[in-house]
Amino acid sequence: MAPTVLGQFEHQVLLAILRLGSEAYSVEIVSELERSTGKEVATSAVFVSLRRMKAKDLLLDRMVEPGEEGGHSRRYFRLTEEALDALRASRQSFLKLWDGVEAALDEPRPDTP
Amino acid sequence: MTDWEVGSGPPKLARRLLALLVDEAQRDDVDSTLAELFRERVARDGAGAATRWYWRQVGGFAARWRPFNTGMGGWTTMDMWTRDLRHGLRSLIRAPGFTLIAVGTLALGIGANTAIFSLIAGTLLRPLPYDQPERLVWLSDGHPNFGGGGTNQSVPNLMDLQAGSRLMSSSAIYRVLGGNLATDEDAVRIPILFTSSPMLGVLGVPPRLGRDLLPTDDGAGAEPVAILTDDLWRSTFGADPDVVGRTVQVDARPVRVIGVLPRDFTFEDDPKLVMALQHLGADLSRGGRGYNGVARLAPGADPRALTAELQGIFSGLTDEYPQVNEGWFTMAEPLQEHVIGQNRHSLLLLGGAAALVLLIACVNVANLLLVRAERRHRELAVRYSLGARRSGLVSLFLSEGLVLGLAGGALGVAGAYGGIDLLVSLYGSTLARADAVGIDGTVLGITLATSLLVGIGVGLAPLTRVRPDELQGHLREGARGSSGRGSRLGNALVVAEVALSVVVVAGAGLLANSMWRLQQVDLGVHRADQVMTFTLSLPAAAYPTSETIAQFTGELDGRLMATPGVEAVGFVNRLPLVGGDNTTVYVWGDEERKADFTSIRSITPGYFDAVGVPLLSGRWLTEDEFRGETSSAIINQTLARQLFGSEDPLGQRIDVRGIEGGLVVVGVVADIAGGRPDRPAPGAFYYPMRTRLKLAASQPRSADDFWGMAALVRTAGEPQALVPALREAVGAGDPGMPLSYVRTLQDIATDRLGTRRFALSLFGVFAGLALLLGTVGIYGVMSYSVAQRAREMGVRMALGASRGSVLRLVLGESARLTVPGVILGLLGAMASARVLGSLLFEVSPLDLWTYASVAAVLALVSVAATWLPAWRATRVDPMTSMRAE
Repeated sequence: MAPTVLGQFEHQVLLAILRLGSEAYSVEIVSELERSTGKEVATSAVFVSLRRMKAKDLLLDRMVEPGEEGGHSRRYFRLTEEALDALRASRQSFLKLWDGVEAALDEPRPDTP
Repeated sequence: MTDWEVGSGPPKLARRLLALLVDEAQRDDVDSTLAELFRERVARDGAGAATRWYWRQVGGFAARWRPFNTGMGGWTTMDMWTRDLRHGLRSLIRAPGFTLIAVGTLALGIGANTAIFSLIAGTLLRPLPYDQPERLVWLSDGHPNFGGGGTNQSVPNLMDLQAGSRLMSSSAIYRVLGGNLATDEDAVRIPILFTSSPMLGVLGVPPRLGRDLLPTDDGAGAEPVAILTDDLWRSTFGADPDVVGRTVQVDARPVRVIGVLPRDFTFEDDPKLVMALQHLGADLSRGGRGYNGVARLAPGADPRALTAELQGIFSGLTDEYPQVNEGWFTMAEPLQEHVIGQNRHSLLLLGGAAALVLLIACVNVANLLLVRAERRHRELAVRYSLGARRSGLVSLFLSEGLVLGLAGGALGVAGAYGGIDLLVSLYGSTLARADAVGIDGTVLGITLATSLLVGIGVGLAPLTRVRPDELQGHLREGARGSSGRGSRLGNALVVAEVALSVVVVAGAGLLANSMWRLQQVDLGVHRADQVMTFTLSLPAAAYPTSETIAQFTGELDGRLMATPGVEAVGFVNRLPLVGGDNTTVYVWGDEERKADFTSIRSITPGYFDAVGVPLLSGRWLTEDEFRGETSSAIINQTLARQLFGSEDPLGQRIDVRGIEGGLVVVGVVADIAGGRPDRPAPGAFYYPMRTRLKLAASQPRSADDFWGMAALVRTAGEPQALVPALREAVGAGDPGMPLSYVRTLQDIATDRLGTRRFALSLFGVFAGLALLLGTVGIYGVMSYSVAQRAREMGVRMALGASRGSVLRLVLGESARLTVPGVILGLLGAMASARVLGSLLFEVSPLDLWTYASVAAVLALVSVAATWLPAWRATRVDPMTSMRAE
């Protein structure tokens, strides 16, 4: 079966989880996304994306009950094999697209101030 | 702490909103995530920035919210729905002209209904603010000569009815009358509810402060006490919580405050003060009809059974006191019905008219959508061939309809807000419970439901024209031509629209015709717009004797006459055109010849000049007679006819109960209309006010009594400009004396037509809307038809048809729609005109002239609406239209 095609935001969310280690929960994902993109992230978008990717079998989740210090239970997300395949395929196609055009970006474009 | 401030956690309001927006499966997760991120932000960026961030996040969830988003399964359908809704919105935005007309049309229809429905909800449907209001009944008298029931009863009769009834668990006797309330600067005239002590207990509305009236407050010689309304408590006492025990000056005597009513208390005539009946100086004779009762039904009893029981008791009272009770009957009706009274009929009628206007609007928009669907056949065919199912098309049309319906509803509600304010400010005085009218949750809910229904209805209309099997053909054929069945439906819609418009316009026409006739009725007063009137009440505490009253009146008369511009001044016990103060008059010594409901008018010398009534025979009263020297009287034409028929009334003596020796007729004057606009002028007799004062002097007067009278001042100039001078003239005699009901005689004449004017003007507005919508409908269909047939027109003209014949062709086509519509509409109007009932005056529900005029108006409208498309048809260039194919 061909790997799932990822949307840009899905791509970012999956990468954020990978950067955080094997698994991560919502707060960590939001913070990591903001750190890596340098922009404020809509929490709602992250939740919608997580739910969709779980429905597409790209993510697995498990609940972790609060420890001794109290607080809330957390839902930790982990990438499935399909997700890794999808990321690989995505990276591959981007690299193919970028091949030979990087140099063009080094030239300053005439209309850029 | 408010929701906007920040303490330890996220803003509460935003958090609550969030709980509504996120489904249960994710709610805790989302909530704790946002809370944790929020805390981080407070530490990093400060509380204000964190709060703003939190709100933005909630906004993000709101933007992604889907109403049916309960589980994973819901996504696909919802996505399709939102896609269609967005598509609907986009395609409507792309056709701004169409959208504007459709939304505006629906807004007119929905707005009119919202306004009328809020009137109906506020007056007819809202229960009275009493305890178990459905168990309250209103007790009144009736006489066949006085248009049935609903008149006043006398105190002794009511007391006997109370004593004998077993179906009433409690009851009270009351009368609402004006009184002078002294304030810091001057005095104001306020309505006072004079009642026997159990009234508030019967209504189930205990005072919010202080105590209720007790039977001892209503006993002879009791200290006068009063309960304030919330309104008066705030305006006069600044909502002083210790008001109980303070005193107010009512009719120049101190009255102790014993309590304050709840804020939402209302009663007939909107009284400001509640006092014991005892302090009215009440007429306690059995013939003194001026009172009514309010009773609470015993458990299990209903008004009908109570009426039967009371009538049984009343029959006994008639046998016992035939001279005052003969011919009368007694009745109990639900209090709610009494309060709403005459408004019910007109409001329901207007509701019907508004519903018709909405129906016309819907037909109109459905028609527009049909035409639009016709133009979009190609797009639909493409969609269909790309795999769209019929359900997909349903959803597409439905979403467009819903967008139109909701937009129309929103705009309609906005318009209704303004409309209701205008209605209440114009007609508040003729509407029962106008204070309760407004757009509330119920009204908004009904409007939303209406908008959705309308949206679904108009949205589905085009589907009747879209058949999958035909769509295939359209793709092959191109955009040519329309299917015959489709145009037939469109034509039927136009016929229906014209017919509905005719019904509304005919109703308005009949009402306008009645109003015109009512205004043509000769009221018997000359140049009413030049006569300023006001009423005065002279409390017995300040004017204890007839002599003091006569002196005050005489001096005031002199001061008013000396005012520049004043032509005549008259005083009378009750103004013309308002009714009231009736009695039965007999021919002296002949009990058989009598006239019921004859107006009693005691007057001063200038009265007839002020009103402008001509003398028909005999003579005016003389100066001596006005000093009360003799017992002469003037009667009007109607009374002369009722009592004496063809005999000469001059020199005859009439018998009026309470006037010893009767009155001798010395003159006959023309009639003046009474209080009921649809009834002929009542009989009346006029006698000197001094005679009445002399009679009053012989009767015992309690300290609580007052002398009420009205003044009429005829002026040569602008009557309103006279008002300050009038106040000054009254103030010069008694600085604390308030003038009330300051208005011209013309105002009184206008007010008497109150409910009718209200019904007519709203009906007129609806008729205007119906005509407007009808015009738009005919125009829309005709211009589409002309556009469709451009090629045919081109061919016709290329073959030598003249412009005139093309014009006739188009106008003829329009007539084929209008004429059946008008005929159907006229039949419908004739069948339904009877519901106008008592609002019609000297106009038959089948009035030929009205219907002929309506038909003519509709014909004109249809020609006007067709003119532009027809003219366009004559401009068709044969070459262009042929080439376009």
